[in-house]
Amino acid sequence: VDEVNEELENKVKLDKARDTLLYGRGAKIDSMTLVSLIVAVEDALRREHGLSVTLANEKAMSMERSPFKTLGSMIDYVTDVVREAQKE
Amino acid sequence: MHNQIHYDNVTDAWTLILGENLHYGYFACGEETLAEATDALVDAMAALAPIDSKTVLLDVGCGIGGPAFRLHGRTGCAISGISISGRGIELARDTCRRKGLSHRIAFHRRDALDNGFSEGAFDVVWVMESSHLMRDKERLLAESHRVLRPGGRLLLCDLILKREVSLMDVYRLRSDLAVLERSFGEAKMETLDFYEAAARAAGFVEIERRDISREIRPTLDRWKENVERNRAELAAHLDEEDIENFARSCDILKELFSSELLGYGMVAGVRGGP
Repeated sequence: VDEVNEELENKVKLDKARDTLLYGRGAKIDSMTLVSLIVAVEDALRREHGLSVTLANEKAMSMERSPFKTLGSMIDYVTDVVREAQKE
Repeated sequence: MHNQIHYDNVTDAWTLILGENLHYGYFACGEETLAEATDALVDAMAALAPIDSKTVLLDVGCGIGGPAFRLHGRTGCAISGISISGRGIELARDTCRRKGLSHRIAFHRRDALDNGFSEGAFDVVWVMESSHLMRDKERLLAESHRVLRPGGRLLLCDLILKREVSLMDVYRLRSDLAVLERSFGEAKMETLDFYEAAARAAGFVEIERRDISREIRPTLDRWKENVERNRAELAAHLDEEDIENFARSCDILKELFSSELLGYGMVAGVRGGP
């Protein structure tokens, strides 16, 4: 979030709160910024934990309740994906 | 980078690539020069409203004044052009003085979302390829509606989305979109359906829309040719990486037009109500 916030104007900076909207109606950021956040997390997992995961796959993007709707739902989703990757 | 800074930085270079009209061209047969085609786009949009020497027109996002000079030359209308780019306004004013048109055409550095003109001041609001640079298009349309007299016309053309773009599309295209943003600034395109609905919500009636993607597309080949032709002169305004980035942007836009993700549309409406 810090990495993405560096590129954002003050009025659209992301709050580090679970209910911060990331996607859909009411979100302060656009889809390009959300993608930057997704890529930043993928890069951090690769760099800091040696995990090569793709968070933005067709399955995740087509979910009725998108895991990228809020920061909280994204954290839960990333936690699940990492847990699965560590089992493999 | 904020679009105002971006456009101040690239305006001089763009005249070497896009020509005196900083917008796409309308190629009816595909054989036209870029200058003929950019004039043709102005003429095609002007054909959607009655414009004559009594018309008072607001040009929102006037660039360096190319469309204003063309419109005035063909119709004699009075024009106020606005842009957030100080450099664009400076060049437009210089040309205006040189042409001796300052009594009929004026250029101001103003924000399209809060333009400062009085209610009902204009017969026509002309928005040529600037709306994609404004995130809040509803506010642009509301402000355009405010400064139009009842029965006045909104004329708008711009890049459009041919379909809704999913988050997965953005993820897949993120590298290309970053290249485009570096060349053209921060942009947000919408569909013609969006523009029609937003114009209606702002109070416009008798809305007409045209998809002119096919006629616009040859512009990208002309721009790329100009990059190659004027590479040495461009180096005085842009670094080599930015020049390469612009050439790559032309290829990316062609791909997006081919894949029917991007296109180009025109929207006209009449200010309803009292």
